[in-house]
Amino acid sequence: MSPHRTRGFSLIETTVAIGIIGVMIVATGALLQHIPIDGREVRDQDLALKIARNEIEVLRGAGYDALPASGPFANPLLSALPGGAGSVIIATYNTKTKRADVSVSWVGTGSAARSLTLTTLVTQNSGL
Amino acid sequence: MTKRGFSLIETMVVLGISVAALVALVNLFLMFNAIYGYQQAFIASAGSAGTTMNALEAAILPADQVLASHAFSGDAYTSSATTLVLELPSIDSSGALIVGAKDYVAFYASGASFFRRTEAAEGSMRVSGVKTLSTTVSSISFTYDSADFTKVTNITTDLKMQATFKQQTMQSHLSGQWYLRNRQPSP
Repeated sequence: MSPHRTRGFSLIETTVAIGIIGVMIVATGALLQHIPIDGREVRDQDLALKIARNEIEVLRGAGYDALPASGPFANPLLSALPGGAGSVIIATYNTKTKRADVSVSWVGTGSAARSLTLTTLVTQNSGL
Repeated sequence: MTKRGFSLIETMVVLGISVAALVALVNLFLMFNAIYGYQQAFIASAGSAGTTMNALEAAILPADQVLASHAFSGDAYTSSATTLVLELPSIDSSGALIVGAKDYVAFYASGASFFRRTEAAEGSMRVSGVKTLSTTVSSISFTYDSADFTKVTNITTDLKMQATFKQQTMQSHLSGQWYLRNRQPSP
């Protein structure tokens, strides 16, 4: 090191540091873009749960004799779910009880298939 | 010995990199602002829609009947497509029924706000007062299975919320129906 040279950061060093900081900023930005997607997942899950609960309430309210055959069910809220579809499976649980499985399926982020299922038992001589 | 300075090329390169970093920083700020607006609008619409539906469910399920109207310490509320007045059997803090005592709950909208007003009997675990459930209601409607409120067994609620925050608008739509679990059959 020559004695007359004052020590400090060279221009190159400073530039490299600024460049690295720039890359970090861009990376943080890319990370932040994932947050709204996670919010959507939560909302979709909540909506699917409300749709399934509503269908359970409808089935229980109508009673044992009015239980439909297995198949899809309709709910206007399903259109708010991407690729949303609802189906109900009615099975005999025992002689006076039927089991209803209510499923809601939809498409999550990254085209991942999502679904949830709620189950209830409906007996012949019961109210809600 | 000649004093060295920066060449034009060096200066240009440094300026270029600095500008790129600055643009990235501003872009980050704008993106963060947009995400913040989205989240706030999301919470205000979807979040309060969920809260409102949960509050309705918590009152409708244990209700024993829908009242055509009830006076809450002077202010009368009348059941309609946008107002719901419920009578609930009172229960004490241990969950036991207080025989003969009733709590009254009214749900009503005023502008974009939606409120729950409670009038609790002496000793009831419910707390009297008014609670703001949402301030982002764009429409709410109650549909009853009977035009005669004393015969209502089932209430369908349709709720739409809309919130705008920092140019981000969020809408949410929820609906549900519940049966009054404590309704006594008509004599």
